[in-house]
Amino acid sequence: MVENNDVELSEAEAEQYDRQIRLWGLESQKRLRASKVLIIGMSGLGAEIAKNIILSGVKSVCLLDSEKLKETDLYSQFLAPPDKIGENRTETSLQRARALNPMVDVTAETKGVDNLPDSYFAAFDIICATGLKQEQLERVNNICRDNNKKFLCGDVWGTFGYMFADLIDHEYSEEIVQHKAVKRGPDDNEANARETVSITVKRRAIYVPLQNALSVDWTKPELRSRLRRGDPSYFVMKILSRFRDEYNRNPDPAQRKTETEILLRMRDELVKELSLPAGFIKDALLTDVFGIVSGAAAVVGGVIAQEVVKASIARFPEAEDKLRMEMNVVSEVSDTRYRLAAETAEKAQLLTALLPAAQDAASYDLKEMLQRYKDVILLNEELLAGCHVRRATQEQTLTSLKNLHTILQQAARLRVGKYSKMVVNACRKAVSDNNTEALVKILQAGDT
Amino acid sequence: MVARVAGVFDEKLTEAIANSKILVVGAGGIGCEILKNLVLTGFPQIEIIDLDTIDVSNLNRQFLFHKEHVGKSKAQVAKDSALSFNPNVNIVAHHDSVISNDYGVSYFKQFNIVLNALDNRVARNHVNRMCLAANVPLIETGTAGYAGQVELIKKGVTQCYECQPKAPQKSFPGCTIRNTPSEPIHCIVWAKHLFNQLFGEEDPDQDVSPDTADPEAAGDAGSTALTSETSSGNVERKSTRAWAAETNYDPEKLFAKLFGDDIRYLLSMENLWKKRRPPTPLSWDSLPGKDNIEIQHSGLPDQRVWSVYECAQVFAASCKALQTDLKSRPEGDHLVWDKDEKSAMDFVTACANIRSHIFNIPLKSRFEIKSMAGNIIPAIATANAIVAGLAVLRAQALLKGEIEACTSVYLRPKVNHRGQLFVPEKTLTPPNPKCYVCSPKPEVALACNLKHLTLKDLNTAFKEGLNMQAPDATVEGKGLVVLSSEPGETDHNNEKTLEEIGLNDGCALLVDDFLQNYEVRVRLQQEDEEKTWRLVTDADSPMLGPKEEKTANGSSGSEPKPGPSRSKEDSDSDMEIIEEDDDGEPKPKPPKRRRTEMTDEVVELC
Repeated sequence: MVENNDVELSEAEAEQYDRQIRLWGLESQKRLRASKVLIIGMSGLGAEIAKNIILSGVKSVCLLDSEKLKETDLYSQFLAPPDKIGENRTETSLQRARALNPMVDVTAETKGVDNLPDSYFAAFDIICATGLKQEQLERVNNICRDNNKKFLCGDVWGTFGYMFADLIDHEYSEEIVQHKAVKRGPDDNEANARETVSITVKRRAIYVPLQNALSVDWTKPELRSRLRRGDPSYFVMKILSRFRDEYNRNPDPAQRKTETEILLRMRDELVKELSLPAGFIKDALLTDVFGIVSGAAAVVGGVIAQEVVKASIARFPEAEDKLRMEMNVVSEVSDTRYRLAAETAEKAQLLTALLPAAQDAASYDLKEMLQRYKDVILLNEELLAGCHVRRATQEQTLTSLKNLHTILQQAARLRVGKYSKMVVNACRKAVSDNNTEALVKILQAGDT
Repeated sequence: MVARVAGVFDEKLTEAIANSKILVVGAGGIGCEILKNLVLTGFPQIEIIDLDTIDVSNLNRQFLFHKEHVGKSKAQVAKDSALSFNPNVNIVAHHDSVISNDYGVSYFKQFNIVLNALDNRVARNHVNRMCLAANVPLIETGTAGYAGQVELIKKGVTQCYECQPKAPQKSFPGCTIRNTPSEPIHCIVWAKHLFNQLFGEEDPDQDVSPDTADPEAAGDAGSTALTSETSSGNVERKSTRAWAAETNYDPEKLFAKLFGDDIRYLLSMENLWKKRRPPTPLSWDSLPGKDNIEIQHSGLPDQRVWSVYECAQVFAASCKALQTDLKSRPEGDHLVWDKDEKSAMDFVTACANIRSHIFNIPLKSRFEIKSMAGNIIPAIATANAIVAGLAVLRAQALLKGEIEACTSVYLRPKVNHRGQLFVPEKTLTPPNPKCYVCSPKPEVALACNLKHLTLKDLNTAFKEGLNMQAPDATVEGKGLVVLSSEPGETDHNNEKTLEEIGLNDGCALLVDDFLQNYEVRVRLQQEDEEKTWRLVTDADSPMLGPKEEKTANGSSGSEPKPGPSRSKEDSDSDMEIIEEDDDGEPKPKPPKRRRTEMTDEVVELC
């Protein structure tokens, strides 16, 4: 991840990504190229997410799924050829997925989420999970949190879909368009000519884990009032994910009628449980929730992939600038220190030579002696002044080092366990090498 | 049976999809996505039209195309790729422009829904009119960067694509371009004009030499400049193209004229530089940046701002390449500027930057200049996918008969204050009753100076202002043909002014485009000040209210024009107005029934 940021885009990349570089810039494209993404679930939604992310030009995409391709998948899953029903969904998708963009490393993982250790997930920068049960989603989300990785999830049932993102503590820059009055020059007679200027502002968003989002207490008065004007989609999502948890599958289109009845019953239970207003979740919301409708998968997959892109190209401009400044101070100060130390040594030597010379002079030439003592005094004063400067720079170094320490600690705190330690070690090395850019990169990317 | 799995949709929709026929116009970013969604959903009959071929810069989002397809027909490759998702559907691909006699009203009528996935206004306007004429619902889509939108256009129910006037494309005054550029874009426009002057279609409106008629320079331009030593008067009088050909496109000579002599000439127009920083002429032998050519540059050359010396080198090289290209073509042929043509883009980058340097304007990289010169709208896969998904969901709702649910949707670059990323309109937007395209009696006023506007200009006004492809115009109440789309019929009048052919203030023309099945009543409005022409819709001018309309009708009925103008016509032997031949010009096209259809439709829908 780190080494990639140094390499300029090739002509081929610049050509292929031209239209998006014109939107998010060259730097963002380079950052995107460092991103390693895991997509869990190769349904139609997974295929949509994979398509968009592979096209964008990330470093690598891994498609994870242990399920077999079913006939219902063909309504929306365009990466798997229709004659491969019964084969593993992700393996059959691999060929077309790779053809989308040969510059991206696309791999397949046929083990299920439950058969993979936590460390497996921690190796990615961003994880998009689809088609999982709530318990599995929460596990993956928590692994991501522990390793400071970005987590997104979503699902589509029929024409209904949702997406959730946990980008933890997300700093990003945003362009804001402002209008300002302009006069283009003496030619401009247009009264109140206006021009749009875009400025970049820094933003920060703190996310909550999925667990918290799903366990919101809707009996709280401030949330009750939101229910009244609110949109019932959240509860539709809850009903559908409960169905999946309970039956270990999605509603079956072949049994549209009976399954709708089950869903309506589950709806009534939820309404009772959360004491939601009657009629809040209309029957019609639970009738078009079978299979995955291609248009809906395209919409949800588009939104999730867009979030992945945004998360990949986000940066921490403020912390980076501060870090660069402090590193500068530290290295400048240490330069001064070395210079001063050398000067001091030189002067001390001169002093030791001058003193006996002055004593010698006392015996034959008083005038000469006076001159030499004057020199000694001058030198002594210079030495003293040098000493003061050294003390001052020492203090400055200390403050800067302290600041640096805080920044790096913050970076380490974003990571957990051995990753945190790795960040600290990598930082130590970068500081002792006086390599500011390496430090900035560790800050951005962790140690990988 | 096409619905592959029963139960995904209710029976009604399953059946409606099975019996549908859909037209997708455009196989680009949104078109590829729409085609994918339609094919997967099981729409059994789809036609797709696109005249374009595949370019490398499409591959970041037009996922039906891969590197090996570059240069091939978009429509055809899209069809082949999409069939691999579902071989049971029937796709017809047309590698063709939708603006063609082959796709007339009867062609459009065979579809249940038309989905637009276009990238330009001209084609959008055209399909809008075709769908209005054929009374087929049109789902119009578009994206720009992160943003996008989907809207339904249904005759008599929603507003049409042209109900709201669109902002005109930005243009710059000629004297800013030719004499006093102050922004990079001025120099880029100048460079594109220069390209056309030297290699492309010569257009007198795209002159690149100093403009002595600049009102600001008035007073000193003629006298001082012409007597000045620096002015090479003889060069000014000649067409740039002819002069360049004489010098055999010698880059150094071209450079000396364009960036030396012409600039000195401008400097002699002293009034221009009283409040501005004057330009600095350049000479080929002493160019900035010449001394540091040894520097090794890292990164992409497109991203770096070239030195003036480098620009001059690129200027020389691209001049040679373009001249060779021009020479290889048959006599009279010319080049067409294309941002993706290397030499053409190099030429504009170099010329724009050299001129910018002369006028103390910041220089730009080739990448940036390409954006501005090529008017490139950034495009990403995700926004296209989302908009296409929404469009197909709207199409499904339409097939279910839920037209009220098909309100316009906007995809926003980021969530709004209400937490929405998709912002739908609450209701369908009703048609603008005064729309000059979809209202029952379309009408518009054309403000112009009848003494100066020629018939050729009028034709341009109808094409550019009213987005017509092949306008025919007759004088209302008389049936006199003023303008005919048949080649040769009225061409001999092209240079005559409207006054000369007997048209006067308040006179109304019935202008009609056969292909679009579109007719509009255009009232001429004399304005002495108007240099070219301007459309005045009802919203701008209360004069065109219903009451006025009556008098206008009346006056055109009892038009006193036959008096002086008829006599003029009679005296002018060249003048020939063709009488419309009602009973039998054999035309291979269906009869015009639009008006009656429209009234029927309105009754039906109310």
